[in-house]
Amino acid sequence: MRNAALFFCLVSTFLLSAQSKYTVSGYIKDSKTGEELIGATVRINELAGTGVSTNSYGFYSITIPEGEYTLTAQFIGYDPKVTKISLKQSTKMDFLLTEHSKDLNEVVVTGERNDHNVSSTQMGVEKLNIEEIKAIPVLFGEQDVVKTLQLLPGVMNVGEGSTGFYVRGGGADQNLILLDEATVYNASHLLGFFSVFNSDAIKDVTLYKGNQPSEFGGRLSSVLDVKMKDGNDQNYILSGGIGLIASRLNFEGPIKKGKGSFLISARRTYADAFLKLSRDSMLNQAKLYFYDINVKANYILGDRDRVYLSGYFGKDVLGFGDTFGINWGNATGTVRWNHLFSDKLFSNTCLVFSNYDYDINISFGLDNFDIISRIQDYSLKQDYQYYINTKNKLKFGFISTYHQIIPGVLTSATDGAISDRDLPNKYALENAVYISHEVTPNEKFSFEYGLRLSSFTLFGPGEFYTYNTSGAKIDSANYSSGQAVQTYVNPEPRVDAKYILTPTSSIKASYGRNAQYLHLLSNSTSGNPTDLWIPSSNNVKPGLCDQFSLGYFRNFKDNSYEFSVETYYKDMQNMVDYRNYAQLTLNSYVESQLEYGIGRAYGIEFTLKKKIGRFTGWIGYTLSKTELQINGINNGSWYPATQDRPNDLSVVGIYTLSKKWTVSSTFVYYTGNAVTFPTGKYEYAGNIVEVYSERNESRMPDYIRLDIGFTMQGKKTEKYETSWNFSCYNVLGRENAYTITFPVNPNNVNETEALQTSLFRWVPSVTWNFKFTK
Amino acid sequence: MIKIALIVLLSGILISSCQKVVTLNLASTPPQLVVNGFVTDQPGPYTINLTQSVAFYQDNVFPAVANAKVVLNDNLGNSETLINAGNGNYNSSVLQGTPGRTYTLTIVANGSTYSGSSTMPPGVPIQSLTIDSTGGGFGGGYGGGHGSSAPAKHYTLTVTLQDPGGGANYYRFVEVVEGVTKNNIYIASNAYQVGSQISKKLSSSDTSIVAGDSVTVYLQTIDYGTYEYFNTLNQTIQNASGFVQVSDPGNPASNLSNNALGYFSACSVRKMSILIK
Repeated sequence: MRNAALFFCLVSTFLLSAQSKYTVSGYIKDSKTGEELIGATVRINELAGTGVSTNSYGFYSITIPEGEYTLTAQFIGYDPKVTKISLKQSTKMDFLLTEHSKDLNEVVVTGERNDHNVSSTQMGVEKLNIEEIKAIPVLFGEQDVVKTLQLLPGVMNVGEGSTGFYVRGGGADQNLILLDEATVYNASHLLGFFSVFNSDAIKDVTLYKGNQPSEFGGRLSSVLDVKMKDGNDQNYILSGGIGLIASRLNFEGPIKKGKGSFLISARRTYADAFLKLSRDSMLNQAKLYFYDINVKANYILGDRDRVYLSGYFGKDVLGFGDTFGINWGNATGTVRWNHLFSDKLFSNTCLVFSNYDYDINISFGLDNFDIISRIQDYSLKQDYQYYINTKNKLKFGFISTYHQIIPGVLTSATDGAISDRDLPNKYALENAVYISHEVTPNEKFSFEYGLRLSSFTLFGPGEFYTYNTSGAKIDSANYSSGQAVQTYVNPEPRVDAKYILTPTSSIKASYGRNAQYLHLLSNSTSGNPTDLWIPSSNNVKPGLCDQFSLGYFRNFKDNSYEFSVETYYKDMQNMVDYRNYAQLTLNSYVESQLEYGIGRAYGIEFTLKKKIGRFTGWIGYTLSKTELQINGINNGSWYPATQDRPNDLSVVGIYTLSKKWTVSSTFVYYTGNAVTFPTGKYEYAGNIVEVYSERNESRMPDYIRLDIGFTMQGKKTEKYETSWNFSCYNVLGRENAYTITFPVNPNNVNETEALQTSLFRWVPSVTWNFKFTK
Repeated sequence: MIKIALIVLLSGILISSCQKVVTLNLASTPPQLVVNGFVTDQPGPYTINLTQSVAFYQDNVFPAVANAKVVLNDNLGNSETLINAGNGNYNSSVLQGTPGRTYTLTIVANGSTYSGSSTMPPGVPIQSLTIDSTGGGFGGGYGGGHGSSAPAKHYTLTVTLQDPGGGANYYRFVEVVEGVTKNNIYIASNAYQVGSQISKKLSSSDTSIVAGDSVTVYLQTIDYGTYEYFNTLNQTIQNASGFVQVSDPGNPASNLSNNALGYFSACSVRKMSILIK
């Protein structure tokens, strides 16, 4: 560790030169809304290959020798801005960029355009444009960042209509989902058909497919970094939308013009309102809705300081009369303080709170009971970004998180057949320090290397059991409050490198290790709100994943087309799978239900994107394999993981027909998941029972879907604008298998049959959106 | 249970779901031996039934195993070769099941040897058997089937027993209506209520019980292995017929060696009958 620090210092000083240099720094913002733009670039035209992009807060800093320069600030979808400066002292310079007008006859200015695809050092990164998300047709017309991400190569949905996702063969729990730096433990509403992200409140979405920068960690497969909008700091805006099953309302505006702003965004579904009208007593007693609220405020305290407050609260309610009810939801809160120690040293300090819980209430006759479960985090996070000079950038910091898990408490209101149960709470502390150095020795070559050192400690109080390999309890020990049960420490090195072959093409390579200390237990084929998070312990070791990747990146036609091929290989340790029919709910001995082993995943991803013009969209194709080798499953041989889907193809097209109309379409094809189907049957105690042999040896049928959407821009003035969105999900009406079960044929009890259930066919939707500006 | 309720609700309400029968190209395994046998503390003969599994797309006709050698012995050295009574049934003639003993079943069939053991716990009497016709509505009960929403009269049997304590005890309930044994699987354990009174609702998902029927409930006191077997058997059946798919299905946890299916159990049995009015 000490050697590494010394090395950082040496490299940094070596690359510093004695010539007098000055720093240009500032923010790049949207000229209309005052929103900081994340990932916008500033180039120095006179110094080829010199540029810097803005960080998550829209800040940039670049240090160059004294002289006369032309600075170009640019961001995708915005008109570039060119400014001349005479640099004789360190200068603060903010850029206000204006969004491209959608004039169809406009000849798009050629010249340098965003070539981020080729020039950035990072690979395996997907950035989503919120405007793009809004144009893509989706189920029930509810725009959704997660569902759009699922259309990118290397990202797959967990099941039909689900917002759970798999990245490069990783499990659904191996994605770190951050909303303004707070972990979101369950990113889905309505059992997965909607994500918790309200696209009205979102500014930026970045997905790192495993080779994430050192500041992120704690999950094996990916980081989904979602940033909320800060709110318009110039005008008050009331906007919203009314859809078939949900409505949204968004209000934002300045607290003080140019100094601070706020945003409040809320959603509510009302499918249950229609259910009440039903005559069916089964339907009209049902409760089924969710709501969520995003709140954010920020204020500039001076030249060097800015504070942000952001919060999210969401709740799902599902129930049936008085007999059954479940509600679940996330709450997150973040307090952030941005501070400039100097024009080269940016600091961000965060206090983060995150909570996920569910509450089930059941009453059947005499039995009336309630089950609650919760996971809660408190974090302190400190990040520094040190823009040393054009060739060196240093990032370092730490994060410390206290986890508290309530696995399940059952309270019975009556003396029925069910007695109270209270599973002991789990307490853990997760820490990480990181340092990362980005070096650009010359125009063609750049690399970034870093180290994240993470640790995890599980604390008492409580009785902790030790199990043998067959899941039998062999030992138990009592720990007092605050006594460490088990500690793990993992160094996680990360390296990225890029070499520019020609001005329009580059190759990149990367390696990264990630450790994961929390595991989600779920043995349903689709996610469930009652899935349980468990900490690493004396039995469950932290998951480790080493990912190697290599890619070729090429832009065509003045950067209007982007092409990339990326291959990856992942080596995973301490993977978890379940014993047959694992009992995961309210089980004090839940760790006895697990089997451990290793995993591997490899694949190749092709992407062709068109980012500008009347027609935009992309084609993504992934060929991949994901396998596990677990003691006790399939006699310890390699077998396909549930998320193994060899072929995955997505095509997305958005075409601007006229100023008024935009048409969009998506097409999805993938191989069915690996599943366990019966291989025979027998009779026992009057029941027909299926015979199973190998885990995951069969496949669900292939999945094919085509969606179409139209957006009609209504009247548009300075003060008021509206639009209509029409879409049809699964327009081919294909019956894609959601589940396949094997019941006895009800018409002929002498036979069994394979019964396929499909969920959505020809689901039309219409949404009306509006926006008032004052 | 919760999972089922959630998904049934959601699927029924929100979604234009549809179902169809599909023909899958399923892998098939060679026929496997299926054992169904009990030794009880009641007078014999005890019957061990041997059949074979068939491929999924074959008819539900399960061939009996005719020429097997079936031997039953206990841990005190008593041994008996069972008599082939035809139809895959093998009967004991002298052996008397006794609580506390461990019984081992050994089968030689089609050139392979299979064996399994089970220990017989002492019997626990049924304290009461009551009937309740106000049940019904959504769900239909704990251990049994689900999906009933028929407004027809729906009887729920409640069996009550006094757990003797003294460690873990496991129970299975068998419901016989007018001489017909129901195939619902009902099990209970004292895991969370050692030594207390246990009530178990037996709630048929069908409405085949009508006034005038005579219903007998058999309470089997079973060992842990038998309990686990029926627990996982129940999940296998639910998984195949229900709406919910688990990602980790498998064969129920049998106590028989050599990949045999089914179970051999030694249990004590008590019964109580009631007439539906």
